[in-house]
Amino acid sequence: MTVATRRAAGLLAALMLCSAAAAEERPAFTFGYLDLADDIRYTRWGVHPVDIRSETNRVDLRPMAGAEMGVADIRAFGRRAGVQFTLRAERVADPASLPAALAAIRAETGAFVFLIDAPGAALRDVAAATLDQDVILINVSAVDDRLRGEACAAHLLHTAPSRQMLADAAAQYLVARNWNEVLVLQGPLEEDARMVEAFRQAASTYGLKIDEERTFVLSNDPRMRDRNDLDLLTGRADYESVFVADIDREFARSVPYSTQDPAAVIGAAGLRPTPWHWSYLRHGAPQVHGRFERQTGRRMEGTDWAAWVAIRAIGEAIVRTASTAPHDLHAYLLGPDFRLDGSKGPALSFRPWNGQLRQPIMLATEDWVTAVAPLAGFVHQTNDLDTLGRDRRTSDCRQFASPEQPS
Amino acid sequence: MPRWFLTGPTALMVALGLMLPAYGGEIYVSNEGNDTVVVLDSETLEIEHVIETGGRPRDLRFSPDGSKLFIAASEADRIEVLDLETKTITGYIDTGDDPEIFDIDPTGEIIVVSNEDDAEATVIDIASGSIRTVIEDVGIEPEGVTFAPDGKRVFVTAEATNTVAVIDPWEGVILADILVGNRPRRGAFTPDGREYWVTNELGGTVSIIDTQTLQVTETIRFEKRGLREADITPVDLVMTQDGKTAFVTLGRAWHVARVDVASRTVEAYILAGSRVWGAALTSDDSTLIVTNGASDDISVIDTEANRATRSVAVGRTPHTVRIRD
Repeated sequence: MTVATRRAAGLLAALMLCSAAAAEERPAFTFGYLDLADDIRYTRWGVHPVDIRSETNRVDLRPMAGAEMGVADIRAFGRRAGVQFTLRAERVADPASLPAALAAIRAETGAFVFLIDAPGAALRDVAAATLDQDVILINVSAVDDRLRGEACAAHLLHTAPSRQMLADAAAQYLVARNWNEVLVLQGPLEEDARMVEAFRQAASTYGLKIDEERTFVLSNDPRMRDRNDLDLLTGRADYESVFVADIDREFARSVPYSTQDPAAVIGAAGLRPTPWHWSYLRHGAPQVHGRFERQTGRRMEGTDWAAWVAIRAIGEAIVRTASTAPHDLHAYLLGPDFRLDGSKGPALSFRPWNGQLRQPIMLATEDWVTAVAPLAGFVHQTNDLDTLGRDRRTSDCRQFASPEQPS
Repeated sequence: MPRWFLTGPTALMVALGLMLPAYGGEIYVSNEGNDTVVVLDSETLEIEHVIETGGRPRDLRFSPDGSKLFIAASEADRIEVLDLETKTITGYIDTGDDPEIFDIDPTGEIIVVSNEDDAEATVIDIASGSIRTVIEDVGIEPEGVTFAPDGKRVFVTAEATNTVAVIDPWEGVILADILVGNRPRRGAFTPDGREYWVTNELGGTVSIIDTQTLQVTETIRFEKRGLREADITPVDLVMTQDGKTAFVTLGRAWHVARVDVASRTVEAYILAGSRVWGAALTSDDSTLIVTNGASDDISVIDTEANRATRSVAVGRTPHTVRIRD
């Protein structure tokens, strides 16, 4: 037991507040934070400032702001645990540099919890490079299902939802509205193909009928009219809703109100499944929005939420276990007693079979959360949140020790 | 219409010499969705008065002398003072940002209010209406505020830090903070002041704190066949005057739990409305009234029979109920 842990145990039940001077003496508990200089998800397609110097061109949408707010929010936990929480961030040029940057932060600060904001392939590599180390990696943005499936790793947890969870939320909504016949529009990137795969799975789970799948290109080339013209893309088909898979969203933006038949648009445009939206007003969410907006001057995005809740999860585990040892925290995070308030309603927990944070998914327009999945009527035998994404039965992750099997 | 102007069957019954209370009780309910406090007659359960308040009225408390009702108007950043005789708002007390829950010390000298957005509690002098102290860092999203029966300390829950801060409001200092279950909301002291019971909305439990040692000594769990664990979301808690029974509203579980204080066991689950949260007992403990935030009504519960006898629509998103009888 370290000095910090003993102190935390002694102080767990009731803590007489220490003075500011004492706070300075507390040892640091450092969260590592890694992201990439060049990341397609933060390019701002479709934003055309009238003036290149305009402030609208300078909004940083990276979730580091969420992590920073998380560290501020758990300050009181640090008082209790006898540590002082800090964040040490590093932005690297390319995915290949992630493991070295992680090792450097580790050597310098002793950090063993790392939040990583990077695409799926980069995360898989950094997880593989740290397999034999006592670290906890938290994925705050990658939606890749393989990271929760065949490419999972026991030390890699996910507070970002998976593509399958997002697709299941969209499918539940269409079923609930009885807009069962769907036209699928797929973009040219691999991520778009993966999203369509997830939606196909969701459609089969929830009984939607995919009338047609069509691919689009972002182009004005008249020779490709069948793939760039929405009249043609949405004509000669029988549908009540349109699912758009388009990671960069520039094409997706043009779809709502431009379909041949009147139809609800869902996915990358129209009604979007997202872990968080600034317009959500229940379950304490307004207080979270308020703190974030006062701090950053912008709206809180889904990835901000995932980074914020990742820090809160570790803070919760530290005070509940009265420990700052990696094994204790990892076991508690995946154990049956862990509960986390993510200001989305139900208590959140990690799926012990693949390290995915169970969570509701919001279905939001530009300025309103229309519904929150799981929708009423979608029930699961153990936890309704497991109607979103792979549950224990269907998971193909085999890297997690799984002491408790469901009856 | 003045209440002494009797008409119809009431006048007839008086004429027949039936014994009727000259002055029935009143039920006050704040509707945070339409910015009103409504007053119901406790016998007829009819709405007698609708009082327009500042934006988003939430907690309500009677002044210790019984002449006024204090109303936290969250969006107006103030407490409004309602004269109980005239049913008019006669004053305002500035509270700092977004007051949600507050309590008044037993002598009626000060109010302590939680400022949810600022992680603060504000201590206000009632006579002058001025702020005495702002206590910072009481925990993120402070909510429940309860004075100990002796008035020396006040316990404030912090929803996002899972703690109860023990505050000396007279000195303006935090004495301790106590780790409880997840998302603590509100609480109550046993009448002898020895225990503080606090609901944990996300934990689905009640933590019992020994007020001498400031330790959590016990945790009460709720389970009922047919109720999903995730729906058991305790919010409010009231105790009978004899300290023998506690009633806990279970939020999304549609039920109120009746708990035997001595044995810490749940004696009954009483069906109420959707998102049942606020609760109040009549002074004789015979009737429990709860607000149902998501079905816009209150349930009137007979505490002998352990069942709801009436539900009455009151307005949008009823938050708090208080009974004057």
